[in-house]
Amino acid sequence: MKKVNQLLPYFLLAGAIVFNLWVLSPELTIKSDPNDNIFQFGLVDRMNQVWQSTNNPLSLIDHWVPNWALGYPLPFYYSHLPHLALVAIYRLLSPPLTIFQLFHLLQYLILALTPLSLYLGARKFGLPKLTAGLVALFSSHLATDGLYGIDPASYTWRGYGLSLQALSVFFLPLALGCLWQAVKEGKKYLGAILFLSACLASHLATGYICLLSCALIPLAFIKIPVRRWHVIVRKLFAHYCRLLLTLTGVFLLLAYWLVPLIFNNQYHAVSLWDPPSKWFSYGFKEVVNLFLNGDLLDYQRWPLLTALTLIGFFVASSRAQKPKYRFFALLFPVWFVLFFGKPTLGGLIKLLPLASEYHLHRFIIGVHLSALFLMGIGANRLVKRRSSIGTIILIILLALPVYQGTNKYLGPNKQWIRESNARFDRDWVDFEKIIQEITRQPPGRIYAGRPGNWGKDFKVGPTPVYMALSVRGLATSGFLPETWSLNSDPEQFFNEQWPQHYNLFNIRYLVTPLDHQIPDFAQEIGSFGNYRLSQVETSGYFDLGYSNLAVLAQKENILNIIHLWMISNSVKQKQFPTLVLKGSSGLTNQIKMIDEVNYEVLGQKYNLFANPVFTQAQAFKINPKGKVLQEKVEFQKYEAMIEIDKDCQSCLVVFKMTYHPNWQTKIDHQPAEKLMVFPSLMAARIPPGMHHVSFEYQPSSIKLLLLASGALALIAFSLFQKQLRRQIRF
Amino acid sequence: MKKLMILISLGFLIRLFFIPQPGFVADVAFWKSWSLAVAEKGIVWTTLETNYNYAPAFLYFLKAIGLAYRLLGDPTDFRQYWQETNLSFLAVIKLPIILADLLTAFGVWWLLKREENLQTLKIGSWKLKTPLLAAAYYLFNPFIIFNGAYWGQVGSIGTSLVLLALILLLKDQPLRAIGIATLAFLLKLQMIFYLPLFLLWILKKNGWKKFVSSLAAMAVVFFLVSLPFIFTHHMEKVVGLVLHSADYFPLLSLNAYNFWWLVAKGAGFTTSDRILVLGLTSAKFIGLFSFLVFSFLSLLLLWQKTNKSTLTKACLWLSFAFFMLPTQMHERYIYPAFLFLALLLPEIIQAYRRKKRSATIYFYIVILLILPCTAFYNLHNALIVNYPNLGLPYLDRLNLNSLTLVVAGIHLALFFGLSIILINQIQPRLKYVFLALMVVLLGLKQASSVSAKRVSLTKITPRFQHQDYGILMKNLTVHSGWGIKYWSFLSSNYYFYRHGLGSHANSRLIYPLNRQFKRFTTDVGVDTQGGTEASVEFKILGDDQLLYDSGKMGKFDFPQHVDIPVAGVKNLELIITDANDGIAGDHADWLNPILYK
Repeated sequence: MKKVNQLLPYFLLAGAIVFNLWVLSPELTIKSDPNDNIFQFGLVDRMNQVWQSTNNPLSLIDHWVPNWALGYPLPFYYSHLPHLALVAIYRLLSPPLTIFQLFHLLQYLILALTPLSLYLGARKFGLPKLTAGLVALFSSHLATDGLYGIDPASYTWRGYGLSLQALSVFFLPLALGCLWQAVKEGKKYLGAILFLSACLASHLATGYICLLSCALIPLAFIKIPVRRWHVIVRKLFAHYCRLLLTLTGVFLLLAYWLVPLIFNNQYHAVSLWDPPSKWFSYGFKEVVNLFLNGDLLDYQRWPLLTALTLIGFFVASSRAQKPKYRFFALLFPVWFVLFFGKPTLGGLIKLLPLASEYHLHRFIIGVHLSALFLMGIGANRLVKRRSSIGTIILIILLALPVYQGTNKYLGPNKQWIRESNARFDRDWVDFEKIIQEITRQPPGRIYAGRPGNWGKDFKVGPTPVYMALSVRGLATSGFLPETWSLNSDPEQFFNEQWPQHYNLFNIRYLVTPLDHQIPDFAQEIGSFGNYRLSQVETSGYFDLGYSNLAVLAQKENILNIIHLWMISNSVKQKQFPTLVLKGSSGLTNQIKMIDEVNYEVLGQKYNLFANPVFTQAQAFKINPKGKVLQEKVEFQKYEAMIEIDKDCQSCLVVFKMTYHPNWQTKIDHQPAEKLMVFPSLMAARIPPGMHHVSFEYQPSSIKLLLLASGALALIAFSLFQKQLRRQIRF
Repeated sequence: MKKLMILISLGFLIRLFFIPQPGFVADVAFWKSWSLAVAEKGIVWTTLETNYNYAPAFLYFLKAIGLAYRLLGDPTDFRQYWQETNLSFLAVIKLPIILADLLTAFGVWWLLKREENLQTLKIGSWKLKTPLLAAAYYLFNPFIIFNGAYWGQVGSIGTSLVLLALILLLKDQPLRAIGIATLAFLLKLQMIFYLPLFLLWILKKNGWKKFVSSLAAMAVVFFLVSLPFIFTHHMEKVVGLVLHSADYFPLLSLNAYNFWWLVAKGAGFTTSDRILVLGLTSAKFIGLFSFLVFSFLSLLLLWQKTNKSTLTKACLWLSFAFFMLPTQMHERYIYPAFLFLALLLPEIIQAYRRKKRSATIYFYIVILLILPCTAFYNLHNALIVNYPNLGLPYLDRLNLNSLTLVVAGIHLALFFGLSIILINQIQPRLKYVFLALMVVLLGLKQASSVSAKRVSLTKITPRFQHQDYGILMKNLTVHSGWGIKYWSFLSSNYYFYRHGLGSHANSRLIYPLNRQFKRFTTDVGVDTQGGTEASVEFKILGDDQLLYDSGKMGKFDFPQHVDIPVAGVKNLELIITDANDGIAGDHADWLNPILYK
């Protein structure tokens, strides 16, 4: 029996993993995704293209992704190392799988092995093996109604497919456990740095939760009641020094990514199409209701894990004389309160660094993580002092309804994947022809509807066409009304009946259902099964324009004025106001946005609706005279020959790609000053005559320097760990 | 014991005499309707389908009442059932209230008789020991008798449970004590304020582990009471009952002769507690803040001296502060104070007889003697204001506004006197640091609102609000009121705004500006989520004068900008009408509304 007790934690861990391997196995058969994994695989696919096409290794960590929202350097702002790692495995090991299959295989393994990560994390905190085993037992079985937490609804095919979050959550307990050891013992800094870096690099939002959580670690070492303040302060200082040292290592390692990101944050959208609950979270009342109804941990089943969490909280609190229990007794309420978000905490939430641009609803990950540890502690308390048989029976009684709940949720997953695969196989034959046809045509973006209109139900298998096209490397418009490109919000105002909008976004192709009425100015190329491909004439990725107005604004205040511009005659007239998000403009005619609808001219305040900036009554007149003669697209370089009439003295060449400082502009092979024009496009001033114009995306060389400093820091930490331990003592 | 039984019997007989009185008819009617609903349809159904707004555990009491009534009468005989003088129902509802009174008196006696150095008081040939006197003080208190046996209110039940919790606490049974105290809170929400004091007692006397166990005991009691809601997945109703019953009547004073009654000059029941009293700070906030300050002070008092006498005084202080300081207080919320006064009686007599006759002791004697009379007067007036024919003879002639103000002034003087006595018992360093902290906090809040040249209207709570559909949403569309899955930013014709008020025709909002602002600007428009047929009209009135009229606006119109002077305006009224064609789809927003100083 003693042996049974010793082996029980391992049985629990193994059982949890085996169950996951079984219940998640349908994920290996996926042929097409209906969720966020489309976006993720689009990035993997792009990384694969970059691996093949570039000679510059820096491009692997910073490249242009033209697929969505008029293009955006997603790796510059978003996680990219997971995509790079996957492509590296694919390219270097050449497994007998397609890259899509490899993508899903790795995701499957990460999800299945999550209990292992939780087990190891709990052990690093010094929790007993049985507690760690119980944490592992429940780790894959939280349940919510799609609240983006650590539950199957976030990760699986029938859920949101948040594969990067899954990966980051895998590293999260390991990172926290290693940080605990580093702060407590002043050793194992390297492990803490690597795991926290992995957590942050996989998913910044989840990594942020790890960062906030670890800020509580030194507090857990304060003995209460406080008797000798000076000792406490000294210890606290030393613990925070160790933490700071570790975080410095992490920062240096990821500085190549984080530093440019912070300094170029103004080109990163804060979308108003995202629901407010994402930005602000749900408020005290909703969160408490969710918790008490069991919907935070036990959606649609008995609130067993909720009860275990509460028991665990009281047990951890009563054992608070031990720092590890004190930490978890502290961690859960802190995350629970933070999860209330802005509706309750109001301005206080701004005290958290970067919180104003953070999706606060993701704090649920902190709630879930801390709850998982408490569940283990609570369940261990329940089985304590019971016989082995009693312990096993009780664990089975606790786990059975929970596992049944997960099985019930994932049961339809298998059937729906099978059905969708069948639909996909059926649709793919025609859809592939469309893709082949488009690739034969001149370069241009494709419009196949968007989530807010007929595009939502226009699908290939389970996937909307606009997503299915983009994931195969084609530039689309309409998808991703989210927080990345500054063009993603304005793009939603695209009017498919207005030819000037097609030209503005270089939307050359329309993919529509057969029964969808295409506009008069579009020409049908052909029909393929249920899909019709049409063409619209545009000037290509380049156009000519004027800019006689500068708009100084913060990125949060540009949407309404851009919307007004998009419906004005200015678009037809090719008048592109200059958008200045940082610094000043050389134009004398300028306005400054004060908020979403009010602007200032020479200290006088006006309103966009009472004092329109772009009057509708302006006479129709195309000002810029000249033409785009030739256009060439090559990987991250777009070139054109442009002829400008002699009377066009202040013309702009407009490049219909999202503005970013990393674009290098050349006119006649000479560097030229780049401008940001409405809605958020690239432009450059161009004199009359015939010119060769090129825009090329080039990763900043500062990244190389920062990468080198990160590598040096890592080497330094690995070499001087022992010395560091000696230096920082109480 | 014999004397006690005589006293209790006498107290019972007096109360029996009042049972046939219809009492406060509306309250008794609520007991009737809710007990009928809960007995027939169950606890959860009653909270979902009726206007029930009391505490969750009270539903069990009502269920027992409903079932008990079936033994005496037929609730489906509506004529009989709904008669104001339905003696069977009055007996069923009032007997448990009376029983709780008697038990409380017994509990007071039982708790006090265990103490050493009991004093005896001679009244004629009767020799009354102080525990007996304390029981009598409670038992024959006109306020207590009138509130329960006459009026039909249930304050005695929660109070009796608080006493039981206190007894258990003093008997060193902290878990049971806190369990009972939690039950008291779940029966009568006001009893929540004693929980922090009891928890502090446990922390100091029994240590951290027992403190945590007590929190666990609270959770267990809470979940046990909530079981029907857990089974039916309706815990949001429990949360709603706990949170929202506190804001049911947003008025300065619900007939409580307290500080706010004085502020309103006797018109507490008709004055909104959203009025601005300190810059942009509402009366409600000031009331809650000051109550919070006194709550912390009572905790400080107990923290530094954790004994029975201090606990009783801290509870008394808290009871009195709760009656005096927050807005929305009913006349009867002073109830538990009499329990603690009764418990303090022996100590006061002891001090008096031992010639320790300080001003403090005299002050306590004044409170002991005056408060039952003034509280009773307050209670009686509250009854006859609503039911002039149901008051006691002669007393109804005393319902004069000037007299009510005098009584409110007496209450305020008593409260401040008590506060000075108890604050003096707190270590100077502790109290000054705390009070300074509170002043700084309030100062910071004030400073930010005073220094601000522009204030978003969303930061001010309207003193009146009504709309024909949904609820007024701050910074969200009216449709967002359906739940978190429906939350959307405000927008009109796809022009987005981060701040504003999501509303729906027909709507009327009144803001108390108190002549503090010069200009008001806002954009107005039909929300993007409005129906295609939506048509509304926005109007703005300043002290009943029309300042702006948008004319008819539809879903596809651009937002309109408003910029109007509001200098000297006391009340700003925002109106959305349905433009005389029905309210279908009329989601309408006040966008980015800003007041300028």
